[in-house]
Amino acid sequence: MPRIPRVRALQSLRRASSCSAVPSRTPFASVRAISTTTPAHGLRDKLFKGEAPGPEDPYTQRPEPEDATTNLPQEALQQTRRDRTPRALRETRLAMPPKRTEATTEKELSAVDPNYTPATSLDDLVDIEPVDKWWDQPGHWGPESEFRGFGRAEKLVDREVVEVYLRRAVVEVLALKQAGKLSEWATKKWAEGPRVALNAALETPIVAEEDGASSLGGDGAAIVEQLTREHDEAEVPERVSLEEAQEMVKAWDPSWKDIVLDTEAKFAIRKRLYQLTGSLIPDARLGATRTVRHVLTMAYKQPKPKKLAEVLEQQRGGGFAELPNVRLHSKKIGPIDREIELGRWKVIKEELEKRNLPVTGTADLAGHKERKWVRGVE
Amino acid sequence: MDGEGETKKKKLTMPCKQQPANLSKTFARSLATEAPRTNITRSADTQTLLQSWHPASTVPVTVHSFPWLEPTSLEEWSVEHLYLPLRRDLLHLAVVYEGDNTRLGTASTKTRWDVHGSHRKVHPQKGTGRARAGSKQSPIRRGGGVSHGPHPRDFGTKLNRKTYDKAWRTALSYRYRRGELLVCEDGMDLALPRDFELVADRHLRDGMREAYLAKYVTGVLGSLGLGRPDGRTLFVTGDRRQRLFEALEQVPWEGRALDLEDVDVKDLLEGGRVVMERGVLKEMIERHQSDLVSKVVVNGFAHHGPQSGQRLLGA
Repeated sequence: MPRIPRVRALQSLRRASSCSAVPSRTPFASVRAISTTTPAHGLRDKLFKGEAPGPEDPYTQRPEPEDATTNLPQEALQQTRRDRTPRALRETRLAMPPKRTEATTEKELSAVDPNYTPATSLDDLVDIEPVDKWWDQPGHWGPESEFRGFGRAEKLVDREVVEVYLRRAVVEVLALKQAGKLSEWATKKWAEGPRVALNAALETPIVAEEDGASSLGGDGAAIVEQLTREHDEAEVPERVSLEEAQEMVKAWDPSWKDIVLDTEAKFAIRKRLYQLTGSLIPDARLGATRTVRHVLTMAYKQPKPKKLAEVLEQQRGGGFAELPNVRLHSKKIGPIDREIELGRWKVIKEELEKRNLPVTGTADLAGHKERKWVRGVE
Repeated sequence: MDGEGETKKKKLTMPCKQQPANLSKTFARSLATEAPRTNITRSADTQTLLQSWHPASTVPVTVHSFPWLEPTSLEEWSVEHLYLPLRRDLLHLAVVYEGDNTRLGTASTKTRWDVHGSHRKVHPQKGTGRARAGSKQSPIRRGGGVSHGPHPRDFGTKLNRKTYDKAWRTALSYRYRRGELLVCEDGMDLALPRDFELVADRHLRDGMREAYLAKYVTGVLGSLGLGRPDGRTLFVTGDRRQRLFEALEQVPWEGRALDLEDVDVKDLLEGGRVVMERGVLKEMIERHQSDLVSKVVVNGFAHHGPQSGQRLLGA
């Protein structure tokens, strides 16, 4: 409506945003043959002392277009629709489902997409998982939701690998003791360190005396510095493989395992082993240990096989292989397997196929009808 | 003579704990104080080490942070509290006692006198040709009362307090010996990622929040070795912890969480592991050491029970 004053501002806004649809109109006071002696004319003089704004006869004339001067700042003129997503949704890294929209109805859809035909069976429709299965779909469970505990998630079960990490822990504890920092650092979290740190720790010799006392052969300052530095939890160092561990273990003098450990050292070693290998030695077992050899015995734990089949695999048949009337199979033996052993299966199959009968199962034929008579139809 | 005497002496000096290796395997179970067998590597070293360890007064207990399970401190607890020998009979008594006292005892039936109706003789004794009948509520008749049916009653039994307390501590000791007791710092609650906390209350709807909690807690328990594949875990806290309890209620097959007030001996013995707060363990021990504590004051001193929970390492 041109008469409403605030519309003038919108008009200038539209012009400023270079909208070409607005025509500029000029006052055409002289174009129409209309009488200017309208009732409003006298009223104008009474209302406005002096010059009255706008056209002479506002009922028939359009107002003059104003210049594109506006009090609005440049940002307000250029501003697009404000992003109204809540701050929490913008900050979170979780993959959230898209905002809900209403699907177009069939009537409206025919106008938008003339080729649309409704589906006639379920197979034509797209499967959409319910919202509570959102996190199970690929790409929706991100690294921000992954949990990392203190200890390694996958437990190491090979004895030699555990021994390698145990030696590293012993060296680190001795280094801290040498530096006088073990009391302070025994209960704190140590940096796991890159592979280089592991190699450095393993190369440092351990001096084991006969009475069980021990000390570090080399200088432990670098090791202490590596342990006590500020570390980033995201770094995952390279692990020792079984072959490397076996070679390393063979090269060492076994006297290092007879070192006697005190409470502080045991606590620190247990904590470090848990961090590196994922095996947490229970308190009851740790209390029974005295030397490094005992700790190794307790730390190395083969996972118990959960099924009899796994046990038999490990033992290569166990005692059953020697028994003359027992045979072991990897799968359940059915009637077809028995027929195959006897050699009759080929013949049976041929005859069934000749008569167009199903070889296994009942195909589309009805099942056992007598069973229904006895049990009742469920 | 001397030879016989020597052999006799040798027999006497044989330690009584030594058993022939095959003997323990042929017998199903024994009440004797044996080290646990099921979770240990089948090597003579572990067995010998555990059997040769006889702590005199205290055993070590490591306190971990939750949920990362980082060992943060070491304490010593009395053997009377956490290293009692296994007494299956005490555990049986306690479990049966708890079961009895849990029974509602609300089964009820109506006797012939409770069943509604008049007690008039249904038809004359003789002359009708039918079997003789008294009232229609007779238990022989359809719609009649039940002769010896159940009635609401109290199935509760009594157990000596000291026996029950010792059984409680035996259950804790059993878990400790098997390495199935994990003690964590006070204030145990599940730490959820910040990204989830931002949007959980307002923007996750239609089961998404519960699904996230279920998946997250399954991941946590899996990586810590406390989930379903390792036997379910019982978490015991002082009071209800909102996040931890809610998350575990979504996945009851992974574990469960209980208040201190709701825990029984039976709960302590079920499942794969027990994870509890240090304060909860202390409170449990204090409530269940009546057989160790005496209120009798002698020369100004009363025995308040053995000392437990002294810190050895850590802040």
